[in-house]
Amino acid sequence: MQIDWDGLNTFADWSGALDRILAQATEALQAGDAAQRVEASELLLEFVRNSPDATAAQLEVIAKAAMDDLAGKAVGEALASLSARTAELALHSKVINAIAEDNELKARSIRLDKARQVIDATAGIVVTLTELRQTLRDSADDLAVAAKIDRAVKAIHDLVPFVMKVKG
Amino acid sequence: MSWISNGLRTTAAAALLAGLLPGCAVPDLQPFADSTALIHRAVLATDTDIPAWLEDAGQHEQAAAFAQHLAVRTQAMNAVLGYSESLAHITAAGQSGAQSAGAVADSLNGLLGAVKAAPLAGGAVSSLATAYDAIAQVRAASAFADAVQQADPAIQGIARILQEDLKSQESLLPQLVPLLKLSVVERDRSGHLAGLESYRLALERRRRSIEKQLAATPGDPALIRESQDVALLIEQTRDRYEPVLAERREIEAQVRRQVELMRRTRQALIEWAAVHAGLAGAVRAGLRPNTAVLTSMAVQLLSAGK
Repeated sequence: MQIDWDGLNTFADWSGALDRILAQATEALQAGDAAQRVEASELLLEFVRNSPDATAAQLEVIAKAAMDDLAGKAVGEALASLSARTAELALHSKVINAIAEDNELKARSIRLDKARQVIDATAGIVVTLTELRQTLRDSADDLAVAAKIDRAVKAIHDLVPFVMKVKG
Repeated sequence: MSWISNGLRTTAAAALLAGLLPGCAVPDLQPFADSTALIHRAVLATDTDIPAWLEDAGQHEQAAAFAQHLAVRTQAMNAVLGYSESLAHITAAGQSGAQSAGAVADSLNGLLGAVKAAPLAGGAVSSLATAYDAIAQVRAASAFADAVQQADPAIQGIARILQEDLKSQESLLPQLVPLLKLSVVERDRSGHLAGLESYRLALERRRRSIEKQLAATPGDPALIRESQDVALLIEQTRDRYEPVLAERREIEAQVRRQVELMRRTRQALIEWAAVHAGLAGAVRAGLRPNTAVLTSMAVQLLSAGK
């Protein structure tokens, strides 16, 4: 739509021009056509910019409200479209987070992290037990404890090969 | 305590060799990881800009609602980025099998030392490392392929949703431009800028009117004098009014750039999802995934985002 802004002088001129723009805006809203809405909104902007305050102050208020309506309609549609997909997206994110966590566990397993942890912890226990074993005397009670320590270390020895097979 | 050393050494080596699978290699994940990072950045930039523009356009309630929904998009992209990094960790673990085996050998030697047994021989450690190097690659390839296959439906879903979001926002942004341009003067609560614009446009209107009259009556001294006066007044508004026009031009340019970034991000998402869909198959078939197009799109995305 072409409007000769310089040719508008009276209130009736400006009012007529606004009527034509609003008719186009209404048509654009009904058609749901984004390009038409942009065109109508640009015309409304030009109306607001060009209309003289003294003659068309009230018309300017109407034009600004129409711009808000056009933008509000577009934003509302985009928001509705966005919100319709949000729940599904959140669900996909949960799945991806769970797989990522599992991947980290697999990476640690391939790096043999758990095997190392178990072996290191076992070595620590053996060192402590061995130190304790060295402090024991020849009393009956101490000898009983020493025998239990020997059995514990032997049990650790028997356990280690099985630990090595764990892919964790 | 010599009972532990020999048995432990042989059993440890056997345990490390257990599960050896036919060979297939983990692919180079870098192009996929790089493009994921760039798409992540592009989506985040959009998520930040849209509510800000809505605020500027006076759509305050909708800006807050948009921000809430876009936060879920950010979380999705963060999840995808974390997933991409986790795949990289599997790849790295597969590529550092010898190092991992060496670390286990160190731990074993610690245990052997604790029970006063002889440490693993250097040759045994080296054989162990070599053997586990191959095993780690196979385990990584298998873990990688399983993970990608399991994640693919969700990845395709995220890619589809983000494409739809971007398409909707590509349509929305240009519709905000007239309000954003109006906001340049409306933001000024004093009304000075709106008054300046009215004054400037009235002067320009008067100038056009004089030019028309001069065309009809060339050389009219009164009109020429008035034309010179109006030109001077227009010139006097330049310093204050030019920044308004410049800001409006910048708004238009920013929206154009943003729409272009969204369009490219959308295209990159299509290729990104396609590459992901092919990753598991490529690993299982021992092929390199074709990431040439994705890499090219990622570069374009980078330039569009600047």
